[in-house]
Amino acid sequence: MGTRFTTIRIPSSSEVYVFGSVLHSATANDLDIVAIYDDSRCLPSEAYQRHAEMVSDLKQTSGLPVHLTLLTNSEERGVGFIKRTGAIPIVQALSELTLRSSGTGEKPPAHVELRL
Amino acid sequence: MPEFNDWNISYSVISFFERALNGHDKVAAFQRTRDIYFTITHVNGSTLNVLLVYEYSLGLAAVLRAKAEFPEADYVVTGGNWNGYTPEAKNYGRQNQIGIFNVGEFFGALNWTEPKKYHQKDRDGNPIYNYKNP
Repeated sequence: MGTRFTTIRIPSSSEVYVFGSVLHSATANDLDIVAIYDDSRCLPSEAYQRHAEMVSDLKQTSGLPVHLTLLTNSEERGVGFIKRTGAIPIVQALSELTLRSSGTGEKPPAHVELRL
Repeated sequence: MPEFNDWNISYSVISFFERALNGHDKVAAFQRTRDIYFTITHVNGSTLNVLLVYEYSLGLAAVLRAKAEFPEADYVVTGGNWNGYTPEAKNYGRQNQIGIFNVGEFFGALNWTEPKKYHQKDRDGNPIYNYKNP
């Protein structure tokens, strides 16, 4: 059987991380992610819309509701979100996690970032 | 029946907020519409229009989304005392007459004459803001 791939459409202006209970529990209720975006390339007023495809991809991939936190680079530096939450990069997280999916017991698909 | 919200606010967060409003001595009445939007009548006769969200760190993008979807809101409150907001979000609120608080602060703010100016204080009287994360 060949390797399956899933694609996560991530805006090129953003770095995306996973944090929260999904990193520590096989029975997490949702997928907490934070997108750190460059506000010179993505206006804060457009940030949710710009990340909508990514959220959709992650819902489909994980089978979980996705809770998105959006912070500019400056906001992240100000509150130290990644360090304080122990967030890890999205592709690393998806590769390590056992996520709810089809339940077929097949080998989990590889995850690919598609930069838009 | 209110419409379901697409802000991922669980019913437990909403019901906690409702119970706290019911028990607050500065709240004369409140009405919840659109699931997470509260119109609160203060005992002094003023009205507070509050959007309840659940953001670990309420950022500027979330505040702008809130204003776009609920333009009449003059408070954005993030549920959970362990949640907070960014300095950028707080500053935007100050500049645009929007109160940005976590839930604990908001219930303190109801005791102030001008709730939007509420802040906690340290032992020396300096303002404390919840620029924090879970």
